[in-house]
Amino acid sequence: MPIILGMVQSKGGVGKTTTALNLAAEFSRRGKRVEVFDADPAGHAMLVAGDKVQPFAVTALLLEDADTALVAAWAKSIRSASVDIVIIDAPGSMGAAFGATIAISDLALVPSGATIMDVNGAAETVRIIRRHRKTSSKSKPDVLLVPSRIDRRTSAGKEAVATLAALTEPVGPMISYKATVADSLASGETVAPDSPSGQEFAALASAIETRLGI
Amino acid sequence: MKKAMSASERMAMRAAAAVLDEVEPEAVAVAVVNDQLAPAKETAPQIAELEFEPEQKNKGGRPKGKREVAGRATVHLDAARLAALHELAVDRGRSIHSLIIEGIDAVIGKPTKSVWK
Repeated sequence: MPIILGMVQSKGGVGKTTTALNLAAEFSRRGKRVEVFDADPAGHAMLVAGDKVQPFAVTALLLEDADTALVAAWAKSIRSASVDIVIIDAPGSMGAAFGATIAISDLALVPSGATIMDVNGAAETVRIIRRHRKTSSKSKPDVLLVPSRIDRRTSAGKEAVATLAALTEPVGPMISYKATVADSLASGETVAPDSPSGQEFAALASAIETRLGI
Repeated sequence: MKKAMSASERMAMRAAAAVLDEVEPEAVAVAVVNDQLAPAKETAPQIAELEFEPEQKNKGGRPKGKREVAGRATVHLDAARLAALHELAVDRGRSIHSLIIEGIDAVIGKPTKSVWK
């Protein structure tokens, strides 16, 4: 069964899709077989990278109802993927796909910017994950907060890590806000591995490997 | 005061329960529609049953540890660390003491079995 990473945040526009695709590219460079499942009805991951240019597959897999049979089929599709790592790009709002992604993930990555709205969304997401852990009496998923789209020139950006640390979950390496990230996605590509942004995503991938012990 | 779940949150929790159901049907008994959280399962009572004589069962309080205590130490924590540990302990239904012990085990590894005994 693949290792499952869930990109979850109840607020949109925090960099879930960007992080998912760039992480997939980084893990592919490290020799892992990766598949990204786009569970977001907005379909941004499919839109950007669904043309098979990337060395990893991107598959749309929506879940719009919490019906038991539908959820079971959805989960089975993910667990039976013949890859080493699955990354699920969950919708930026709560609902069936959001909850199912949390439950199926080994590690929930919660990207968050430095704004109060982003941090509030991260707090809501962590609350749901903790609630799930309590109701299921399981310790999974682990959580890694990812400071994302951070403008290091602003005071909020400089304090982003400390702000997220207040949620008392591990905080991963920071992903800076850079035009090159948006530009690369516009052309259907991930960032160059030797660019500053590429190195940030590589650091994040390493942090994930450490957290998962892989 | 617990925040009431919204409809979308309830749907999220229902889907989360359904995912677990798909793998381990017997392990899931989650009343997700109800806002009340199921209490975290305690393993301590089971341990207590193994460790204590029947007449000591109903004494209440924490079960006495089986391990030998080589020494006692007071840990001085700053407010932020104490608050974080407290929140973690409440969240996981554990004691701060357990979290510290497990943290040490995670960092330096558990003692070998013979030493442990």
